[in-house]
Amino acid sequence: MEMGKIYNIKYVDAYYLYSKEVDNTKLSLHEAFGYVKKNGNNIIITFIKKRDSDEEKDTILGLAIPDTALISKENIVNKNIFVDFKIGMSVSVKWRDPVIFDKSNLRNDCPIMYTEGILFKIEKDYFVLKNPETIRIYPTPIKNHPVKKPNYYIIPTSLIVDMTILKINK
Amino acid sequence: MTIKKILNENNPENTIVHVVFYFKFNEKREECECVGVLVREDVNSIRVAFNAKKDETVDYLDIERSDIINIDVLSLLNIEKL
Repeated sequence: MEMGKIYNIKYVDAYYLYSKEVDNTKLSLHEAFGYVKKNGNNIIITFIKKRDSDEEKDTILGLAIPDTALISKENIVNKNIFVDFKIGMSVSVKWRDPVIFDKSNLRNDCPIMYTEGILFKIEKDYFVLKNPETIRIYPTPIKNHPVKKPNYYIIPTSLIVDMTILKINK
Repeated sequence: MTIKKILNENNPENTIVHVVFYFKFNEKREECECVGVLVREDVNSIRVAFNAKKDETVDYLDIERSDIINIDVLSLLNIEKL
């Protein structure tokens, strides 16, 4: 990545639904334009900044995403780690969340989320969790996300850093 | 300064722009810049979109024409894909 160069990025994000039934879930595809920096396994996209400055403090609006969220990196995610998970299991999922930030809350990494729920659907590139409860565990303070509990959470596998079986429901 | 209309509504391709403009930043009127898709042009302002979800704009900035210092239309050749 070159400083000062303009990039077009395509990436995936998680989303939640309040509807009681879900039929046609899809991966949520996003696109953005901006100036890009890499910080470890995070990609920081600056939308608005002070003219000719690359300093973090001069960012006005931007976006932080996990590098694995890039659609172009989709094939590097090891999906074999998910083979033991079956529909109906209660699971916990730790995942990294793309986030928009502004000058009042500058970020150079992504929040980490923790979701518990029942595996409702397993697709090759995302999971659907039913009755999910999600908290943001980083950065502090820990808080519910969203505040009102949704009925379903759709989480791309490329955002997941850890997934554990809590209970095998029969 | 009068800025000529850039957006061609008949062109299905995105019009990517780099805009240098005055913006109130840290209580001062600073020269700032942004890059994005020009999605609206009015007599007094333009709208630059930065990201989209399923082709619907999510975050954008409306910039008064009187605050614009310079605006360039970017060729896709000048934009790297990531």
